[in-house]
Amino acid sequence: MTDHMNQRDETHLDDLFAEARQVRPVVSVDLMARIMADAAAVQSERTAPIVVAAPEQGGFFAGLWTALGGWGGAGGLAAATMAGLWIGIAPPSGLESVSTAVFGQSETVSLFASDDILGAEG
Amino acid sequence: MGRPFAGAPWTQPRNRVTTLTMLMANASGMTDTDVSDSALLVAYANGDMSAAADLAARLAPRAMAQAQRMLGNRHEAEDVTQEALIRLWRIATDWRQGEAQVTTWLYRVVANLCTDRLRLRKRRVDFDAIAEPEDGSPSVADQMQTDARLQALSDALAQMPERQAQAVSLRHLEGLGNPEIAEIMEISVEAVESLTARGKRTLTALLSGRKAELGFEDD
Repeated sequence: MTDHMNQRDETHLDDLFAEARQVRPVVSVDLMARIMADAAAVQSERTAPIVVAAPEQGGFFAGLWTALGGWGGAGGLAAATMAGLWIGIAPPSGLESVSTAVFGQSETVSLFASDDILGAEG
Repeated sequence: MGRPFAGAPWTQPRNRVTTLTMLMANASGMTDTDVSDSALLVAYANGDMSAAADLAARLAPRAMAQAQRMLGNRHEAEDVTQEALIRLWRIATDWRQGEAQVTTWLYRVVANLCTDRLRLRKRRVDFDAIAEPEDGSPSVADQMQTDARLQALSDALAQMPERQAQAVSLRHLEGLGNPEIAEIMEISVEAVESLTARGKRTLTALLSGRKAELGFEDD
């Protein structure tokens, strides 16, 4: 009974497929016009001239200024420089032992007697 | 887009690329209709709009038919056709002649656009979609029945797994062979056979289920 039903269903399905295959719509003039308009639009996009940005006025230093970040960037650099200088001249108390640990005890070596630069006295 | 004097390059629109295409076609003894889809597409990419027109005249009906068979709705089929051809115009510059057929590519794109739409579809009865019959053709009632059946088929495809719906449509609505379907869907022939067999069973079950709920079954 179930097989018979399946066979009938499959026949119905095949008939439905056959009916669907008969569908052969005509493309309307309106649709064709839209398709061709799209073709033209895509082609125009492809051949549109590439707009190149005009080169910046101001030359090298203006470019450097922009690269540094203008006033804000230069200000930050100046602050960092001053901080570094300050630490070097007057380091906080803990820092001296750090530099000794990293670099070792510093020694001063004299390459020549300081009062006989020209070696005149032998 | 009629071209009565296909063999005469000088009768075509004055365009260097068209003339070149026609001269090449004539040199090899081919007529206008023998210029391949790929050649037309490449010509369009180089600016030949009459090649685009010829290609559209060939491909739009194919896309329309495939889409309307899967979607059961003319308006949606038109949207899919327009979208598929926009994508064709866009890939024209990347098209490599000899690698694939344009028709294979088109089948694939239309199938994917259709399953996208089926996924989003809400079931509704749309009487506006029924075309006016001409004199001598089946009566309005017959046409409505046909349209309703085709709509039911399309709705059933919407409820199936997408790859099964595509395989079944390409096999039974487009009448394509398994090797061609394999190329379109980019799977093996064995996978196509499996999908079409399962898809047909799923579709049968879906459509039977609907008949049962309408009370037409007697076991």
